[in-house]
Amino acid sequence: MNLFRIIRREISHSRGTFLMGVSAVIISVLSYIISLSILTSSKSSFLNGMQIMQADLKKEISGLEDAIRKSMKGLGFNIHIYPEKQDLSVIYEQGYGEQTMPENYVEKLANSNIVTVNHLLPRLTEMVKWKEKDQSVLLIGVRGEVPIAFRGENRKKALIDPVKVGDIVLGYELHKKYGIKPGETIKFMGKELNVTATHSGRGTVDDITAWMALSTVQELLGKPDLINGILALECNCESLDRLGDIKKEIGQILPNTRIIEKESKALARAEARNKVKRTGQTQIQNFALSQKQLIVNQSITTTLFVLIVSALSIGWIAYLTFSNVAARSVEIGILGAMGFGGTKLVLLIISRATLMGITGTLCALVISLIAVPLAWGREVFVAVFLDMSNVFILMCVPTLLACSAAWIPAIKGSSKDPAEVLRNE
Amino acid sequence: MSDNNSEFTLRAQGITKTYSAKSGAINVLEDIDLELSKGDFVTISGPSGCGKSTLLMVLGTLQEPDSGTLKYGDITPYGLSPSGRAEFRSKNIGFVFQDFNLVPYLDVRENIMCPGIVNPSADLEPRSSELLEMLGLTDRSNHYPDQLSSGEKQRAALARALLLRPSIIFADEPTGNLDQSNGRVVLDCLANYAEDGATVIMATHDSAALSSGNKHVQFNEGKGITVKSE
Ligand SMILES: Nc1ncnc2c1ncn2[C@@H]1O[C@H](COP(=O)(O)OP(=O)(O)OP(=O)(O)O)[C@@H](O)[C@H]1O
Ligand SMILES: [Mg+2]
Repeated sequence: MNLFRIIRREISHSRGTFLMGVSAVIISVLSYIISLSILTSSKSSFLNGMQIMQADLKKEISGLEDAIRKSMKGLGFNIHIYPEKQDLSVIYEQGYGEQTMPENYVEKLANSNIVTVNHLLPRLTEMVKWKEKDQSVLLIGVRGEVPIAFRGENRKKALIDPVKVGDIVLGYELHKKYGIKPGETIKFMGKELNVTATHSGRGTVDDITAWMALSTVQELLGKPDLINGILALECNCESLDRLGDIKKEIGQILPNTRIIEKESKALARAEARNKVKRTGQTQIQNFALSQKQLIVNQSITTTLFVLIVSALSIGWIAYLTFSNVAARSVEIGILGAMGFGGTKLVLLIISRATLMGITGTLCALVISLIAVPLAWGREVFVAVFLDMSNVFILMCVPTLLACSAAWIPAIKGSSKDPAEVLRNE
Repeated sequence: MSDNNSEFTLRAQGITKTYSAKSGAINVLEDIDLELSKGDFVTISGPSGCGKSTLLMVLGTLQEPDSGTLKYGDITPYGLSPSGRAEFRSKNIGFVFQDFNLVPYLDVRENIMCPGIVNPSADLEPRSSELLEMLGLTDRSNHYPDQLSSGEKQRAALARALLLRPSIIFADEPTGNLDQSNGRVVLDCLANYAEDGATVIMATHDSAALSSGNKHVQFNEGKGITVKSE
């Protein structure tokens, strides 16, 4: 005969109230686990949403950057290098200069250690008469991009494709007006040329421009190995201050040239790109903020829910324990009369509540071990049950609550004189 | 009787107990003086409601009196803490309640062995068998209280009080529900127990029981008591 036997006997004697207490604990633990799982699952879907949004933004921005980079060649952006003697008023007047400089200037630049410029495009430009059609044409001879030597494989992708010898590319007005299609062969200033591309309308001088290989234009204009400008494109135009540095650097390599900065539409584009990026990020931040607010609201609701359910469960357990103690007052009186001290009597009553807590918790755990992965997936399950603090709360709190609910009635029941307990029964 | 029990003289002086009820205070015990010693078999008699059970409870350290002192040798039980008093009870006192007070969810043997939880010893099992045998309950040992007759409950309650061989036994109407022969068994059992050196205090209406004692406490009409020794 020992105390544990009495506890066992008593529990099996009053199975009903014991099971009611166990179910109170099960309900309170389950509601905790369920709330936790809901929170964890909404947090993880929030994080997934954030990741997808961020990836989308990144893709969009890099697409935008690519588009900007490609369109820059059409913007006449950045730096024009002209011979030193070139009168700038002529440039502003007709868009190109009459002064020329050796074509190998561009090689000089390309073979230097120039860092501020990414693309070098030598060109020979002149307004000519297309004798065959009696049409003014801005003739531009291009050589394609001159690779900057020291960068090797790391150099930037070429912005424009060179026009091959024997080919011609026509602006909008030139092909539209004469019904010329790509693939046709035309005669231009006595030369048979193959039309490889035609541009759509841009509303600029580009529309009456014809592009040819530099060497062909040099030949047509009688200016062998000469060019009248180098277009130097700087793509990473993030700060205006860098233009000064570009001028300085080029001036050191090619002293007898002059450099002018054309209007920087690309800067505006870069600005626009940054703006898109910022807007996107703000949107993501707003999304994050609203989601966080949602999660906070949700956790307040679930916390309240858990608190209410727990309070009800504690009340329930306390009520059951109180009524149990009342029902057990005879036993408490008898055992007290036989010499059971207060500690033993308290232990007797508390153990019942403790067993209630432990049994209820274990049942709830078994139920949730099966139910949580089914309802919310493995990820949530692992997140909820790998968190040691959760496991700790799940293991200890319900039992402690059950115990403390039993504490007061236990003390009350065991502190009276046995005769009084027996008589009050 | 356990050897660790000192040889008590039970001395009560000026014991007063009043119950407060809605209809007013009921003075049950008024200035009771009593002195009992080892080997006494004391009977307490008086009309119903005169305070026999109350006196047993007070003397048995189960109910603190309003005033007066109670001494077991040098020990003043009501000067001890409730736990200290419980321990004192477990070592020295056996109590048979008028309404038995068996633990409902323990069977007869478990009920009898219950006091052993507080004072465990090896011979409790044979001791309980001996008591079951002696009080004619052997074939009832696995029955629960609600399966027993009143007489069986009464004997089980007596067996439980005797389990640890306390030096003093309080028995409240232990023969109240017994036929003559069973009553005889119980009275002989208590008389032998007293002869062996314990003190037995028994409240009873039963004339046969009254004649078993060697000391008689009679409640008077006017609340006092008269003590007669043979
Ligand atoms: N808790 C209580 N509150 C009020 N009155 C009580 C209480 N307990 C007992 N009494 C009263 O005290 C008186 C003495 O009761 P007690 O049980 O000691 O009598 P008794 O002599 O044992 O009676 P009986 O022979 O019927 O067992 C009775 O009148 C009873 O009604
Ligand atoms: Mg009585």
